[in-house]
Amino acid sequence: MNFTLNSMILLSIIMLVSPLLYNMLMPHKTTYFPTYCKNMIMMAFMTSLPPMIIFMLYGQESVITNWHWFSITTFNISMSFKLDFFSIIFIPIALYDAWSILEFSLWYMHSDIFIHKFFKYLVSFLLTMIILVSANNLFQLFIGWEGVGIMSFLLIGWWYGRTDANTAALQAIIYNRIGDIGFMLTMAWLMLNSNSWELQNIFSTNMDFIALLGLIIAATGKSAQFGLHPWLPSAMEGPTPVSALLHSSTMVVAGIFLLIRFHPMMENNQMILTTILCLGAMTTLFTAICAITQNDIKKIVAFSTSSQLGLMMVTVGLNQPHLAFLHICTHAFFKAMLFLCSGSIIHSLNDEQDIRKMGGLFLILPITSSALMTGSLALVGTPFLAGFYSKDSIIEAINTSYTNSWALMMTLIATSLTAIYSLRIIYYALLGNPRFSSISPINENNPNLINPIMRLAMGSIFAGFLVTMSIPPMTSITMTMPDMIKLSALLITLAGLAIGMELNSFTNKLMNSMKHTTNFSNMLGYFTYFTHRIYPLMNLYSGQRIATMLIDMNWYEKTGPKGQTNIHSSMSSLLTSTQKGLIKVYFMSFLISITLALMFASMSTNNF
Amino acid sequence: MLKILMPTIMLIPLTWFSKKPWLWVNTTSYSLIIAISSLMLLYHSMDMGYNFNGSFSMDTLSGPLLILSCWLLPLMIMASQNHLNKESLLRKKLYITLLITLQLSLIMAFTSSELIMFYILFETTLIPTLIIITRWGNQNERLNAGLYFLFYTLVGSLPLLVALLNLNYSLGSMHMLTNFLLINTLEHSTSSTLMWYACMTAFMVKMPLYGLHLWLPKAHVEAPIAGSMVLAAILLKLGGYGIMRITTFIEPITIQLSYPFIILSLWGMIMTSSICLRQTDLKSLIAYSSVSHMGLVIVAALMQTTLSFMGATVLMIAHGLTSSMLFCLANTNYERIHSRTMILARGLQMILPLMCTWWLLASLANLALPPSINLLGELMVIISSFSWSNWSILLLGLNTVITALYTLYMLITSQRGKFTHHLNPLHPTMTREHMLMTLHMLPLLIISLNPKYILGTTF
Amino acid sequence: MMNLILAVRDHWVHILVPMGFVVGYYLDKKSDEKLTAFRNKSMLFKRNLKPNEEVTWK
Repeated sequence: MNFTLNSMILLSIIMLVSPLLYNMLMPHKTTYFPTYCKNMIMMAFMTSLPPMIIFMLYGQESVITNWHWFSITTFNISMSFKLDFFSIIFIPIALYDAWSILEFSLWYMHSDIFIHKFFKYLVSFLLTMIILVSANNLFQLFIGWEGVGIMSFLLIGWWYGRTDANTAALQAIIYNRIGDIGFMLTMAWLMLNSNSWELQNIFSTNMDFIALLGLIIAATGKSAQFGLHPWLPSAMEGPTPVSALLHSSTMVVAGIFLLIRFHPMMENNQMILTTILCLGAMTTLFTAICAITQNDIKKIVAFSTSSQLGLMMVTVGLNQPHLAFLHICTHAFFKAMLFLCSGSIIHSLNDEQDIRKMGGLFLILPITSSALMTGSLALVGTPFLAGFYSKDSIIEAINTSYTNSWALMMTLIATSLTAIYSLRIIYYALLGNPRFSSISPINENNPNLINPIMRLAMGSIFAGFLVTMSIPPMTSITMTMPDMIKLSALLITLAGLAIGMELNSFTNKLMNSMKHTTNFSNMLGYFTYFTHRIYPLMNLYSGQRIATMLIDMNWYEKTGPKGQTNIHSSMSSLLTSTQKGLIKVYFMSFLISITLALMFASMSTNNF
Repeated sequence: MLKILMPTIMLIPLTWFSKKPWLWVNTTSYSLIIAISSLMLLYHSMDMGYNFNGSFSMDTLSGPLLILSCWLLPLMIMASQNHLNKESLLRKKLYITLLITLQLSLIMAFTSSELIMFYILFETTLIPTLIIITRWGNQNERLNAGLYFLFYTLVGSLPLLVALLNLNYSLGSMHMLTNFLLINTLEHSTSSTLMWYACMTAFMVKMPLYGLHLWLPKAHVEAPIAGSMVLAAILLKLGGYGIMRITTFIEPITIQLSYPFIILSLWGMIMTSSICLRQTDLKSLIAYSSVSHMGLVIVAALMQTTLSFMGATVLMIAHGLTSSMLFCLANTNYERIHSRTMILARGLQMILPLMCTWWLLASLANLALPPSINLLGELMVIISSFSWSNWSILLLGLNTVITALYTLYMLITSQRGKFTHHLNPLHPTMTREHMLMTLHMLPLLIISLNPKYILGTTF
Repeated sequence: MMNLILAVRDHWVHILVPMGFVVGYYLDKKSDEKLTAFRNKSMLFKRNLKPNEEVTWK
């Protein structure tokens, strides 16, 4: 059993490497390379299923340590994989998503001449993501952590001719790097205090507030929590498959995943838990507010991702990491599918992303529309779809726990806002009359488009049920509660739906009564308008004025070389003035000095 | 050691007697053979050092640097081929001879076991470098740059000579490997403080410490490619090497006296990185990024812990290869566009895709992507400075952010974006250039697999 | 024959670096011997060779 578990997981990782080596072995047979990549990922997914089944049946976990990198005195770093609940469940889900998304990319990117490179990027991203989730070592985790960051940089900036894409890529890497400071802080702290980066050793130490704060900063950067959130909506500049794979289901949950990994360290630290809870609540509400007035279909889905990430953060803050993990799993399915649906719509409407210019698509894009609706319903937590199992439990857990009512309030409002923006996409894109140009290349017949969406739709319907049925709950959940609390998630969602209908009709009737609120929401809370101007301006200004011009070119030059030159040249010119070959002056000075000397001499002899 | 030194000396007659068509081939291939044979030095059980003879020895600190300087000669020769194309044969030979003498003095500087000997060779490296900068630089400013280079370094290192003579008088021996047998402690007094400053200034200028760095961007910008490469890759490392060597002679006042220097270089890292953000000149940007990275090495070398020494050694090697590669890349741009201004060469990914890969790899190494050794070094420095003071993580963290920023800014400006039309008559890339980049990148990747060899003293 | 002489005249430079290597190797070996002899004379390190042992300066 042990052998099967370890070797199957390693086998699936090796399968992921094979597309990257393909060109070295067969440099000229590249016609079917993208399909090959897709098939390889499918096989990797199949290979990763038996370990999951073994885990479900027997609860088998293991740690593989293969290769000793180096050691400093008693500090060892080796390559080691941790196959526990989180990684064994997450790897198949990530591979399933990636399989669908790669197949979708076959259709979506077919006209791109660099499609091979695109697939290689996606596969290497997936590899780093799997390294991240299965790492048993903080350094290895960091490799995955930075690897997904860089791959996201490359993939967001895929259309490198566009300024926006480059800016968005740079923005993503900057916010991630700010988060990395936290990661490095924790690494440094652990190296000094526990002298090990292996997870099992870390879990036996007692991490203090600073070290855990580092983890929170890291998670804030990677999972786009409030303060470091603006990169996620900007990242929508990348191709849609990238948004589907990286910015909804895998990479952005890495931060939450990190906190879940380290939850044994936080369990008893109320201060940290409260920080996480409040951060999450703020993120989920703020980004949900931003989502309700966006017009770009991808931006709406991106903000809803951000909001769901906030919800996961809230769950971690509630000390329910397994529930948060469940939400990661279910969210991966329906959010990836929502992105694929928007990709299908965008492609069909000739690269039109504005939902105001869509409408009536349920007649012409039936499969996409039904998948989009399924996804949205799963997202709002309709009973017995995937989202219900995680989201409803989370809301119940909040309602029945002794948490601060501020965070509770924020989360509940955000939950009802979920219904509003989900309804908004459906209402504008699918219902009503067509508002797009009449010559759009609408076609929904390609199996590469239909199959992935259908597959993910299956996931969005059944995943929650399957996952909750096959995995016993790890933490105790309150089973009894009043009816109102039990139904609160559904009730607020229904309230949200009602409000959403009302808001949509406001728009149609050009009601202008809520200008400030709309602007606040539409301009992303004015957050980016402050931070993206003030800080870069400050930094660049000080770089130019203070560092370069004032200090380097003035102070250092003037006190150093230029100052020396000036002193020496003025002194030497002073000296030169006496040495210009004026023989009369020289004789005169001799005369004067000799006379004076004689005078003094005679005076002194007189005294004598 | 003479196994390396004698063939290197023989490279000079090889250069002069080679026929014209064979000049580049001969020198490149033989210097590469020497570099490869120098890899054998890694095999010695080096933990306690290895004596070649009375005055030359090698240990885990100098070994990697020695091999790096051997490795760099073929790369420099390869990189210079194009810009010497129009020079006469005699001058080409002279140029190569200068590079070879530089390597000779570097090898001896890194292996000399006497501090005085080290000092002499440390100064010897100035002469060929100065000639390379002032004779083969591209613009008139090269004379000014040469002046800055020479005077900063000389003014810094003359006090060192006095201090070394004094130390030699009081200790009787300056042997580096046995100095722990000599009982020497400087008591707290004004004269020992002066002594400490005298010993440190030369290396601080060479590193360079923020505030004493003005010569570096000038020299880098004006020097021909080989000059920039050797400056960034090895000559700066002489400073770090010197600090690590000499601090054992001037114990124990380093603990007090190093404070201002550590703070200054922490602050200087931020300042120089911010300068990088505003550079329009590609070479100047890379030069300032060198200053910023060397700030980390200074911090590590002054921290005086095992971990920080390891970090400093790793960073020196990593930065040597990375910055040299970046200079080579900048040079390939310069040879095509004839300008170092960044905005004039944009969107090069369209026409030079493979070169873009090298840019990407070099940039990723420069911003310390795991698992490269650059990250390993930075992480070690960060950890040791975190244990020194928890607050230093703020400055170091900010520095990693800004480093990522300017590196990617450089990458995006030169490679991404729209292709500009004045670049239409662009030469394609040459195999020689790709070879050059490969020879930079391969060692980085291979060492990343097993960083044990460049960790310095790991006991 | 003429070709050989021509080739030698053109390519004799290739002997230089290997020659340097040989000379360097020889000198290195000599200095190793010297250092070992010095070491073997010291009271701290000297010892008698075992029956089948070769020289200690390798």
